Amino acid sequence: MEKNLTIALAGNPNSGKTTLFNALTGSSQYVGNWPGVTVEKKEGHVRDHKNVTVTDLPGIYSLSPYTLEEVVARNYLIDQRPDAILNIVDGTNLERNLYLTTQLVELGIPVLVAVNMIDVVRKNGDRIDLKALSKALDCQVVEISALKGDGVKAAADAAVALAESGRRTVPQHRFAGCVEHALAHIEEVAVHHLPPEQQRWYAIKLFERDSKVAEKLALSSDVAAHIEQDILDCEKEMDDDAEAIITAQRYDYITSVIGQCYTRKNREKMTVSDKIDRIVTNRWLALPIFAVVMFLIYAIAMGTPPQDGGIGIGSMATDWTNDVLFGELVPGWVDALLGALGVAEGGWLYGLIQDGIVAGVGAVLGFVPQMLVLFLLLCILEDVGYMARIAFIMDRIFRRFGLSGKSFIPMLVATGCGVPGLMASRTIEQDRDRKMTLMTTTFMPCGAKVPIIGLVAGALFGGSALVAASAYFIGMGSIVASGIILKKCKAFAGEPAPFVMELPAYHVPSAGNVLRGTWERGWSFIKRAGTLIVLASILIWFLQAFGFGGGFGLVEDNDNSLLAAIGRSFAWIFAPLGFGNWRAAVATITGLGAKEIVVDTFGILYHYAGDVDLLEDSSPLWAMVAADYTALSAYSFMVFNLLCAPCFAAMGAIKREMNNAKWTLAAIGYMCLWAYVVALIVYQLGSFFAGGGFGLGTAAGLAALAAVLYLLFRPAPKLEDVAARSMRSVAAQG
Amino acid sequence: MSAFVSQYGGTVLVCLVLAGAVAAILRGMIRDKKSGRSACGGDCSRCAGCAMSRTQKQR
Repeated sequence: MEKNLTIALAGNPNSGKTTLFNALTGSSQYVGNWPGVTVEKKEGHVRDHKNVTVTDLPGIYSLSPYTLEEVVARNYLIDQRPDAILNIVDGTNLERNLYLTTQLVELGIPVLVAVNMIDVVRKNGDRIDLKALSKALDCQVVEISALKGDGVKAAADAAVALAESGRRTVPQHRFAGCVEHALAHIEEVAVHHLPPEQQRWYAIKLFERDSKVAEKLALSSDVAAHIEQDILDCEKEMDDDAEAIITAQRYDYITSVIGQCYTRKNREKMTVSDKIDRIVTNRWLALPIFAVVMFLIYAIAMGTPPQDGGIGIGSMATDWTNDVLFGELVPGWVDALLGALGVAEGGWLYGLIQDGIVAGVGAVLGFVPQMLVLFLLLCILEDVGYMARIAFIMDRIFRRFGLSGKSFIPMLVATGCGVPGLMASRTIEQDRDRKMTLMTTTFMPCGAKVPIIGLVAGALFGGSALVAASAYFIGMGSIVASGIILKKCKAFAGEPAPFVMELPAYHVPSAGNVLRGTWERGWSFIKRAGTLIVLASILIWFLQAFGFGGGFGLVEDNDNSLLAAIGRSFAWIFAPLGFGNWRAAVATITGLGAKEIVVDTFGILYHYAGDVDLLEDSSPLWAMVAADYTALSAYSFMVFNLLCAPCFAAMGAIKREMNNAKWTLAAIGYMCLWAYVVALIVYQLGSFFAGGGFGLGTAAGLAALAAVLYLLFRPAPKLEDVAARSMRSVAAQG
Repeated sequence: MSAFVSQYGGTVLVCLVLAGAVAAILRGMIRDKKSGRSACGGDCSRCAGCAMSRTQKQR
């Protein structure tokens, strides 16, 4: 029987670990072209070696516990001790990647180094001498291109063979004499009880004053004092602090290794990525380029269709899906089937299926083509490497307002679904920044909000790409504005977390990555339409079909239904926002189940209420929605639903991540309040400028705008005051 | 009896299919919830930021 083996994939962020993991295991883990995609480890079995488990660790730069990813990866390596480590090294950035390698080889675990992106290295005209590198590191080195699949099988076979052999890698690097002297002392007094192959790594970490390692080893105070004296002696001799000594000497060693094995063709020449970055990350051009790119994306996905003179490919497909597939074909098939089964037309069962399930689910699924085109384009941007630049650009802007660019990664993830976006906020170490990110991430329009945007843009604005793109910018603007406002509050004040991010080289997008990313995001939406949306449709249909018009029973007009009565009881709240009718009020509340239920609700309520024959009218839903709204009220409705409390799943994620009921309520309350204020300003001031005259609503809109401007521009509390208050608070608690 | 079947058989059949579908959806949702899968509908093992790795699911 074959022995079960474990191989850990370790490497720098964005070095291609997840791509290699997918290639090795046949899995389809999400691959993002920005660092920090893998927050926790993931496992799978190697295709041709079912007894071998591969663990995809988060990307790390070192084995120091500076970030959550480094803690997760390090704990796994030192506690679980896999049979081998497959260290993925980005060949285009060898120096920085080898910094981690020098630490991995000290763990006493067999290490295989896979130099990734070798195709790019060759394309640049550079050359890596694998034999020399192998000799310098005392471990086998292979070359791969994980993206193209080149060398992946050979790397897997070599890693399995290494794990089976158990041949430990012996670190070749020796530090300066006084450091080695201190390390020898530490090994003798503190880690002598550990297996010999593990002693060096622990000794180095103790020398670096790694508190977590010291805690793990439970050193006595005598031993700790002895070690500290050794470190102090060395620091005195080297005139630097211990951690800096180790880092500097590692880099000296890496420089010598690279000198032996790396030949660069064009040492001073700018790469293509550098040239592109000079334009797209330019101080003045970056934001306008980003705005144009996002406008184009929304124009292609959700803008005016080509037959009307636009470039909206997604809209063209959605028009067909709405008008033909779910407007004619599916209702026709269902009608024929129900007729054949003898289900009476006009009866409750016919109404439930046709006007409830088909109309509701159809209204939601009609927007799938727009969503798929949108996701496809976003995935291409991400895979090319542009989205990483956006995080860099946003950091520059965010930092000016006291925010961290780290908050932008969860927001990027949230364009697919808010839940993983919220979970991605775990990478933010500062509690206050993390809480603020949790409170604002779902302002980004996720996939489920796309149907709302599509409905409003299509019904009231002729599929205007400007309206669709504005949804994205309103989300982002709300995040920035909220960040500025919240940062001026005591609970969030403070310096932003430092944000260091490696910009990956631009590359041609991989069809596999792009299609996988698009399909996964789209499929989760389609799957939900077949489950949650069906249940919601049934419930909504019953509530809008039954009422108390002369005794409980089916009602002719859903204006007399239970749902209408429920909706009217709170519709007045939304009257100042321009959509105080019961249908819009109900749709807003049902949208808390899942945002696409907003469109599902419209599909049911409007199909049922109207006299339009589904089989004959070309676009009943859009036309009927358009008849009930003005452009401003519809836009206000869209803004409110984009910004208000997210779906229950996302609220649950906020609760889990906040781990505090009060903070969760505060976050949801803030989102609802912000959505209300923005929609109020949009509708009331929009109506005034459109010639609607000055009224009480206008005054309320002006007051809301004044309040927002005050909160945005009021002076921030001085950091010293905040620190003093915090200290007083701590002292009072103590 | 045969008159009832010929008149309402189709309706009863559709009702049963519908009830079965609703039961299956509910069962699936409850199962997903119990197994820790997110209610967002996404597959967490493929999710960018999701903590629910394959290992946790197998557990």
